[in-house]
Amino acid sequence: MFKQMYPFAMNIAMRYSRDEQDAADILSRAFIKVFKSMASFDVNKGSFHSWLKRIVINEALDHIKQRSRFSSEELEEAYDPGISNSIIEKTDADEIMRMIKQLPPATHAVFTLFAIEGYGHKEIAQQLGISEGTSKWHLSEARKILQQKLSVTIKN
Amino acid sequence: MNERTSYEQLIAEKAGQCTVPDMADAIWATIDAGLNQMPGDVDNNADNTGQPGNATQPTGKFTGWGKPWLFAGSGIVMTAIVLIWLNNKSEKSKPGNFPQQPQNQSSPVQPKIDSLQIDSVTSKKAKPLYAPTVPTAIPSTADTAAVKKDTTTNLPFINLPAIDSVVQHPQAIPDSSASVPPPAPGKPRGVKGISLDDYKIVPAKNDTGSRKH
Repeated sequence: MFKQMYPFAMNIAMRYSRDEQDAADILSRAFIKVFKSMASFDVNKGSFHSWLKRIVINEALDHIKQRSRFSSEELEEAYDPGISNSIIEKTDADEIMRMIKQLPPATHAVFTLFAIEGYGHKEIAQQLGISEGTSKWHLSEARKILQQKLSVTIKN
Repeated sequence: MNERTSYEQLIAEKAGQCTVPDMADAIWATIDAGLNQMPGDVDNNADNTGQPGNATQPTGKFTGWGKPWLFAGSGIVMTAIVLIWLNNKSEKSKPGNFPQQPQNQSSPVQPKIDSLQIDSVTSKKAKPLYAPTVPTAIPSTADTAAVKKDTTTNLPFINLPAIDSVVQHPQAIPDSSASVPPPAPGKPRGVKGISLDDYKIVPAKNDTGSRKH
């Protein structure tokens, strides 16, 4: 079961971690929780993949909370730099993920939850224990930084 | 803008295409170590979910019954150590108390003079006491011995109030002296011109001598 789920779970863990070792730590703790609470898994409530994903994300967020502080600044509306889709399409997936990992941990977490996982600011605020305005501020920061990095990549 | 942009949706798609490092074995080793610290029910779960052979072998190795026996054994050893320690402690405490007990017991046996007098006075009973038996304990202190000799020789057979403590403890003689002196200082007051020595001699030799005076 572990080997079957490993690529799926490791991919999620890699989104929230700075390096492979971080991802390995997150994944190992997440799977220990999975095995501990396997009896509580209810097929009627959802698929095993979504259950496993939820556990991995929670473990990753705990990992991020331990090592980073979230800003106290808030925004009513997140900033949109207007990055062209073509730039993203031309850029390698690993390169994009490398740029995202270089974001500050809190900003990295908010951007991943919002842009990749598709959570709204309200859910992000609840999960990270911050306000929605702070979540928007971190998203704006992430967008600005990514725009700069992508522009540099295109120039090179 | 609080909604996902189109380029962010592209990023999400690309995120799923990322290559995953081959760390499955190393991560499983960590998971296995973590699971081995838990009760055996976790291993059952792992087996039920179709865990690979690699995973099931180490988990079924030691978790089922080994740890309870280890805990039980260590508990027995600890209990035995505590019992032995308590035993040794009680044995050591017995001789250690001896020096204290004799002190408490010896205080009535070898009391100071003051305490003896208090005891004898408080324990007086109406039994006749033979005075000569008392002097055996007189040498304990020089001052009291001198006083005792005088009183006992001058008043040989007097029915004094009985003192049990005096019989039991020779040092109780001061009590008898305490009962005797009252007549001695009283008489000189009544008869002028007669010294104490004269008064003592007279009753010892003749009753008539005292009548002369």
